[in-house]
Amino acid sequence: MTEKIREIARRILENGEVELVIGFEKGTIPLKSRPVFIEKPEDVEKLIWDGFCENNLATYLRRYKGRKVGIVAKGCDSRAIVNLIVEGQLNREDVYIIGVPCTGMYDRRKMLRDGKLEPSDDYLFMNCKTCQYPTPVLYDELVGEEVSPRTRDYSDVGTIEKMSSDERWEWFQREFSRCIRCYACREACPMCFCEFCFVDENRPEWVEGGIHPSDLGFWNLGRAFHLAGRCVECGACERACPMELPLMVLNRKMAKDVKEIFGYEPGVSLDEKPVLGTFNPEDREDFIL
Amino acid sequence: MKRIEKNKFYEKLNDLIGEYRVFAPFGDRYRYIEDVSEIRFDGLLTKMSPKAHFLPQEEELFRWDERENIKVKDVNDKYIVFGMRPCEVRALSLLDLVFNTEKFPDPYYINRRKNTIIISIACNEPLETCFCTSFGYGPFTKGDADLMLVDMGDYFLGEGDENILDLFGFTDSEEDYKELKEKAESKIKRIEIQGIPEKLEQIRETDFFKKITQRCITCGTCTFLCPTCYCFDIQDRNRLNGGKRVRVWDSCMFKIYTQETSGHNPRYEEYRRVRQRIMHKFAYYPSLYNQYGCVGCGRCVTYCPVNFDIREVIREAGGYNG
Repeated sequence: MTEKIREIARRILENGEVELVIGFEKGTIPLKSRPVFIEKPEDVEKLIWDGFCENNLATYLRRYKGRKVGIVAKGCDSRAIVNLIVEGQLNREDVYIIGVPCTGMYDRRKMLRDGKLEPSDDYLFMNCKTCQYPTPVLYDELVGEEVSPRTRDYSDVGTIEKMSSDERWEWFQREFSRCIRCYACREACPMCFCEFCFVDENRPEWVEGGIHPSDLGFWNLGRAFHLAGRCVECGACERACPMELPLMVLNRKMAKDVKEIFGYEPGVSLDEKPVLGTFNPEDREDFIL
Repeated sequence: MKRIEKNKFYEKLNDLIGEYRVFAPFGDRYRYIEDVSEIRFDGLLTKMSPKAHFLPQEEELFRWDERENIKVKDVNDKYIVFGMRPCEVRALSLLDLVFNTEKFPDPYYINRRKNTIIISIACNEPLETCFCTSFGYGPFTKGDADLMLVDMGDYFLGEGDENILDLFGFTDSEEDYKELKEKAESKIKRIEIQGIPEKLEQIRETDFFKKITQRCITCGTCTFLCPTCYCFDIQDRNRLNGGKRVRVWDSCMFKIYTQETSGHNPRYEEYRRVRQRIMHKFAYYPSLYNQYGCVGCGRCVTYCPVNFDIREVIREAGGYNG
């Protein structure tokens, strides 16, 4: 697939279809492939594809508004692109999507902790293990055979749902007290494109700076809520988090609820309106307090 | 050289908890411990550097009540920071240059610094990402530590303040750590920093910084984990019956950091922020203090979500002819 990606990148750079291709190259630390920005056809040899392309490259697209960009996209990345288009952040014709059917990404940190250098299914990220859209939902070219969806499984969310509210609060406070407010989650997330994030607002200050538990809670819950019906479950936030907080449990809870309550999944169709941007008299209301 | 059995050392350290507040490695960060059994080394370096003791992420400066009586926060406790690595000790000497100046002495930082005994541990097994020896010191440099320990398995060799060595009950030893030191130093890959400050100034306005910024997502991971980054924000916490003024960590990577009241932001674009971070450490620090603002601990390399590698940036800057 690496070869195919290079071939397409070279062609669309040479024929001027795009001014830039965003893909992955080999990183400088073990088991890390990292974003790379190719502007010259002769540099396409840098591009690679492997099980460590964990970032969601769609997060960079907001920097190139109105410019023609090629992008290497896994299933989840393509969903982010679809959602950016649906939410009016991106024009379909500005982006050339090199779709990569994805068999899952491996948790490098867990592997390194266990001293493993060879990927195996045990180290797949939870959202990859249960991925419903491994094949890109939108692409200009697909570089491989379609990959079948995996078994839908929200048992990670289930574990938290089963707790009593006290236990859950205790879990949340314990886990999220480790947050350092670096906002790697926000910056890694393609859907966090607000020009001014609520957490940065200081006139008035909605969330105080520092690490008081109430501010850490507010930030993390606020972030998750803002992604309800928008999160494409790519896991970029959790992979970026230096403190390895279980951010995806919150996001996946939201995704699961939105699917169950409204039958909606973000980023799978260009024709559907965002779930929170529409109203249907048939919508359930029983969750409103 | 002096030595002490590890269990004897930890016993004594435990006895000192109470008289001193002890800040020690606890997995991914340091924390104030109640008992030495809480100490947990997860690898050579904690993710969060121990700067959090000297510059807490959230620190009260003073508070006021409804009658506007102001009470300034004292820092009078005595502290021991145990387990710091030579790079982290060196980082303190760089922070001193900023917070302990004649013109603007920072009493909070200075008091903590003055009231803290630093016990460091030399690095027998440096990491792949360590590049400390690039900066004229190394994995066995005591620096400003009051006591540096060398891990010899069942015992520590100690070097430093006689009073502290006596306090712990170190005894004389014929051994030295020369061999360990040489072995450790030989493992570390240096980066070439000769001429970098001048070169960075030269290429400041070229496309270099735009190029290297493409990858950076401008989160604050590097700056928050960095032992030398010290940017902060001052905030007032107003409540009905008074309030307090606090200092909280901030980051030059954040857009809001340089946002002015008028709405103008001199570092709106990402590359201006990345340029600031690199220039501050490798050009401004050298020109202001004749020291690099980086200690080569490698945290920013290891934990960057997109593998923005400062070693590579410095190398590319050195060879940039654009």
